[in-house]
Amino acid sequence: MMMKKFSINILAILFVFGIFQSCDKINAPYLVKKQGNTPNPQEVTRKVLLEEFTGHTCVNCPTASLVAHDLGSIYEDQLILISVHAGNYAEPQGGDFTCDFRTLTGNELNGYFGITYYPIALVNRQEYSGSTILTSGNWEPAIEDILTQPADAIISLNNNFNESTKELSLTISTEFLNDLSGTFNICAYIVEDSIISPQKNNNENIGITPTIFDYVHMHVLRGAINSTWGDAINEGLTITSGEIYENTCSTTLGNWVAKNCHVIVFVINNESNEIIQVEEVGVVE
Amino acid sequence: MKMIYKMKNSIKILLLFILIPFLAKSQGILEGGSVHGNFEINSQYYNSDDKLGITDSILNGKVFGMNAFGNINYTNGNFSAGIRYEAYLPPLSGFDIRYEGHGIPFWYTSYKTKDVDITIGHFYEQFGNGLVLRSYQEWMLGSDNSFNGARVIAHPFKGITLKGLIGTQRYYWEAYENNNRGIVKGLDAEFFLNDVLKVLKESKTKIMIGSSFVSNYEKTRTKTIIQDTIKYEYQLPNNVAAFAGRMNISRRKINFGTEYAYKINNPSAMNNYIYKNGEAFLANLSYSKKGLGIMFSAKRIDNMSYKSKMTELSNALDINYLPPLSKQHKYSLATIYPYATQPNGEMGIQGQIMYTIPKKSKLGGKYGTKVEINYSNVHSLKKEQVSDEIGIDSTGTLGYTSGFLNIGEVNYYEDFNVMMTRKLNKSWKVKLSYINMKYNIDVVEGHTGEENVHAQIGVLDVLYKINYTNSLRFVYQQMFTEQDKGDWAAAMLEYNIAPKWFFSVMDEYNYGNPEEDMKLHYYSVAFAFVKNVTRVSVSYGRQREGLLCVGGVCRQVPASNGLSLTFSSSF
Repeated sequence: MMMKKFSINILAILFVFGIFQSCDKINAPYLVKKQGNTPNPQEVTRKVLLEEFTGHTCVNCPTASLVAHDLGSIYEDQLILISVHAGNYAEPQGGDFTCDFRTLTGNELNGYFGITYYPIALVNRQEYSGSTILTSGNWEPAIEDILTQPADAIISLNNNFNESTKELSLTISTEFLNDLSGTFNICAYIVEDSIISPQKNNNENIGITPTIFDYVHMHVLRGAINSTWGDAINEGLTITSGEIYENTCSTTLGNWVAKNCHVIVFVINNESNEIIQVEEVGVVE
Repeated sequence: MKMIYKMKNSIKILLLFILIPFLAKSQGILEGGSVHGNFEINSQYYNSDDKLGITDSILNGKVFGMNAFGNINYTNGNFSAGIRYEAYLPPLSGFDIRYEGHGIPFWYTSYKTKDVDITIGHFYEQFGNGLVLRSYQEWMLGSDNSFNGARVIAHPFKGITLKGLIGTQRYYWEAYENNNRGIVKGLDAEFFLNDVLKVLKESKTKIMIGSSFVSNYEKTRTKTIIQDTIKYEYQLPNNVAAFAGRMNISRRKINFGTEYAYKINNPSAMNNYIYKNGEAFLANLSYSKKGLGIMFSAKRIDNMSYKSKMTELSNALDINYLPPLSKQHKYSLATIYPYATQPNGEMGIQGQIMYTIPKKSKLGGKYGTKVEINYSNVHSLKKEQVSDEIGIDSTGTLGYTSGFLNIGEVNYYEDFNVMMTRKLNKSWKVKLSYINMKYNIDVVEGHTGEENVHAQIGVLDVLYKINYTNSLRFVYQQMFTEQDKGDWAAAMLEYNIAPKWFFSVMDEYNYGNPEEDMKLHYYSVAFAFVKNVTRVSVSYGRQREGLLCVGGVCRQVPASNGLSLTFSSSF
């Protein structure tokens, strides 16, 4: 009898709880215009993309990667890194260096920017001190220079990853904060972290020389989702402050570790090749 | 994260099972307890098969798959507890790769008396026909939406059953944390009026009524959409409720059951984020007497997908269940085009007559002849625009309107089938089947733009009993269709030495495939050995791709070639 009363009480409590917490009836309008969501450009941070060109048989590259890593620690989420394995030092070889991290996009960028020596990097694909390709000593001042400028755009990313089929679809919203002329494209690349594979090295402070066998490769470019030069945003039409453009793209992830993969999306000025904003999101959020 | 969850889970289970004997011992309830359980291991070794498009690079070293489970249940008087261990190392081809791993996804403790049944841990439950709540496991489909939480079932008075539950649903191996899915609350009351009302006590008319209430709480994330370069935010409900009422009346040989369910606005990825309320209606009328059974069913499903995660598109996290109204065929060629319930909207009917032509009559023969005629038809809903400016199913709107009896023009599925079974003499038994089906492959399988499949299937199934323990069975199936993969023929020979041995040889031949290269034989050989409760079966051959459906819920099975081993036992 005690148990019966107890169970009825439990059900009564559940019932009352259920009634009061049960249902949210939504009335029209179901879509509400986002109020005051055009931020002040001064309050939005411009982010910087550093594309480091490297290769597993390049002995100087671990030192440069350490510089990039340290800059990442300083600028935190304002600096986004990509390691582009391209050129002679990235070619697979016999022995310990059979891996091939080269990609069509990496090869294309390598050729387009005329990169012939490594390690070297592009910082937002902008010129600094008269050059677009920068040695590691120039990376920090180039980043500082860009960060003094107010942001021109905000990128919002919404990705949907099906772990079963490995299909990744991405919705990119680009909100412009200033009036801009010119044609802009949106590019989406995939990078993978924590790939353990041998790397040549000449810096004993970093690891064993001449080869670190369990080197952890970070931000390795795996490819472009919507081609190396991306999709058109405005197709030459004048952009006015407050406009939002939406692009979608999708791909199927290769045989990579999804939780170690990130999508890097950036807006590029087609005439100058300069990147005006960049954002990053994990494939598995 | 997965590992941490599994570790925590395993520690909990371990503690539970360490503590039970101590707790039990102090009360002396360990005496007289019993342990029961069952195991099953399904494994397959995969071969590459160029004809099926399975190359070594596609297999990529994953040449072996295994799904296994073991249930162990302890019962002692009113108390019971149990666990289920599962391992997918890696999952068999066609199962969701998110199952990869092993652990204990299901454990429970329960105390049950005549008046009350309390369960803590994982449990399965169904309210009525399941239109607003049903959790169940279907091993063959790899679907499991069990609840993890608490449930109370009470019988406060004779004829009254009350149920209350709160829990989160299983999502592969992912633990519930940080509102990553909803919390489901449910209440159900069922009254058997013949016990409750004195006036009906002696009545031959038996009446049951019931009602259910379910609510899902999910902390919704901000969702925005850009229309004409303006950003809008969806007004999303955190709590989505559904309720249902049901009734069952039976008098002697006639039974009538019906249920109606209603769901308040539930914008989700399944319905393209529309705000229309959902509804479902199910009715079933049947008559049965010796040698004759007649059944008629009708249903309407309108925007009734109900999941505990707004963004989920797979079969996972369904709170409710929408039963199919079509015959679930058993012959292999008839399962090539199985119907899957369309939760966003469908209307269907089904009728079935089972009649046994009396034995020793002219038509019935010496042993009588069973005839079964079944017909089902499922259509779309007739949807109308909410207003001139808003297109049907437009996101962020009411979506559409549809009158309760408004049947749409698109036919999703139609199936007319007749089966006749006749025992000729002590040795021979023959079954003949004819199936005529129309299948909307565009809607059911998403083959956009493909025309409906019209298939006709004939089956001859002959059983020859050689003696008391030895029997031979031969099945020939023939399917004619001009659509999709064209005509098929299949033959199977089984040899059974009861109760221990079973051998079979089978071939399905897609001789009508429009692509010359795909006119393939899907051959297989199998044998099984059974001893008491233990069964071992081995098969080798090709598996064709297709949908595997159980109860209107389907899983895509890819083509494969290899050796399968299944082991099952219980104690």
